[in-house]
Amino acid sequence: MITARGVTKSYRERPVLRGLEAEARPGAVTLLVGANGAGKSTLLRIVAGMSRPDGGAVAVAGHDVVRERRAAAAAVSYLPQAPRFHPRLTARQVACFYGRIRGIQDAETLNELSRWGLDGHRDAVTAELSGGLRQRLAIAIFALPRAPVLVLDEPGLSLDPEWRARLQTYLSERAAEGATVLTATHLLGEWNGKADVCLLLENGRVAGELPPDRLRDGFALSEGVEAG
Amino acid sequence: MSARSATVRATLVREFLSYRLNLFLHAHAALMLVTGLLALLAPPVAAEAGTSWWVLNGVVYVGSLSALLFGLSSAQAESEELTFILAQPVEARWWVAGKCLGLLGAIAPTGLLLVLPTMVLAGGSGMLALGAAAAAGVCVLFAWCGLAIGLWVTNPVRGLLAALACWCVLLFGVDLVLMMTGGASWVHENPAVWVAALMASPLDAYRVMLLFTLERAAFSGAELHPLTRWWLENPTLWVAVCLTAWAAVAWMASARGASRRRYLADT
Repeated sequence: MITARGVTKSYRERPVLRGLEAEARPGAVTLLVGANGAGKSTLLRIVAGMSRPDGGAVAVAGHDVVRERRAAAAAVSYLPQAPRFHPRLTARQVACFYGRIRGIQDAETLNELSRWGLDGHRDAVTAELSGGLRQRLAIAIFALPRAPVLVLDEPGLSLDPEWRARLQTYLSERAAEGATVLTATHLLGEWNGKADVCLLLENGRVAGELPPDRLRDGFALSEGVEAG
Repeated sequence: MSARSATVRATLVREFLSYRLNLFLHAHAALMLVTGLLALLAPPVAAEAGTSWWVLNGVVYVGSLSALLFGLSSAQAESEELTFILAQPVEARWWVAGKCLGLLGAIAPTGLLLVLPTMVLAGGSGMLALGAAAAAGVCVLFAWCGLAIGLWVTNPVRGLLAALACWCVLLFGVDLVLMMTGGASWVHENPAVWVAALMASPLDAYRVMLLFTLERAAFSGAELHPLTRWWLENPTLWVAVCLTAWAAVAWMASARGASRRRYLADT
């Protein structure tokens, strides 16, 4: 469960979130959509404990992300936009590092790499991986801990359509298992009918919900957002 | 295994794996070995003192810089991934502890390269081993300082400039300021402050240790300030204290720098 109550956030006097109220419930895939600068990434960073709200409160799995940061972080798996990795380490070495800090056995980590089609790239240094492969590596690491709260920022942008579909399936399966999934996306066409809730952000507030099975129609009302 | 020890251990393993391709470490080790080989130029009768001269200059003018740059490179290699790392349930200070231990494990053995050729060809001594240990300590400290600078200064070019500035200050900046103020009347009234400032410089502490142990320089203690006398009588102890204190500061600064990066987007 993710709850945001009256969240405000400004960058150098420029308000990005203005008393935002939102909720993402367990067992559902919740989309965050909105124009560039609407505050999607800022909200996700706050939920992941990577940014501090100026006001209001955000709780993840019942833990306040500021006051109980460690407990909240343990419940969350966060996939930032276009993550990059240590350039001199291989995909296997990077993934095993993340597994070990979460107490996960290397064999399990390697299975996760296989699931995301990285068997043939395990021993390639990350600097040599394409953007799509790097994103799949990030998703494998993101999926490793099987956290109860999944937070993703534009996860599909570097992926080809096949892997985007696999990611959607994975997120839906995790939601069906009871996880809370909150993801920001611009690729509305691909999410049509596959999300449970779609929150439209405008000017740092939730302006409303779009019908999950008619995202493109609802989306057309929102200025400046590309439908995928 | 606790979350802390899992973080330290995983980070330590990751550090060692990344060093395989780190040219800064290779360059540092090569420079240490070359310095050790150059020490063989000293005549056999004065092998220990001659080696100490090479070790002193090798560490002060070369090893400290190469170790600093190695530590900086260790931090900069993480710069793009740090957001992802800090999004995990890890505490920055334990992640930094793993990195510091990695740097220690990689740099400390290179201190042996400084004296190994002399020990093999001209015979070893406890004093030479002590000199090598102190050299390793100085290099580890500079590597940790490089790490701290790399974690605080996000721009790689600015980070390099900051590291070079730090090295210059520690190499001769402190001495220069002390020389310029040495004649001032307040210094003559408070000589302990002046001596303490000199003692606080890790390179000066190291210089004095080598001069008064391995090279066995003579000094007249008749008119020395008690603090100076204590220093010259206990140079090895002081190097250990000084390096430990600096290392603690470098570790804390690194941990603070890494924590700050968690919220970098906020600034």
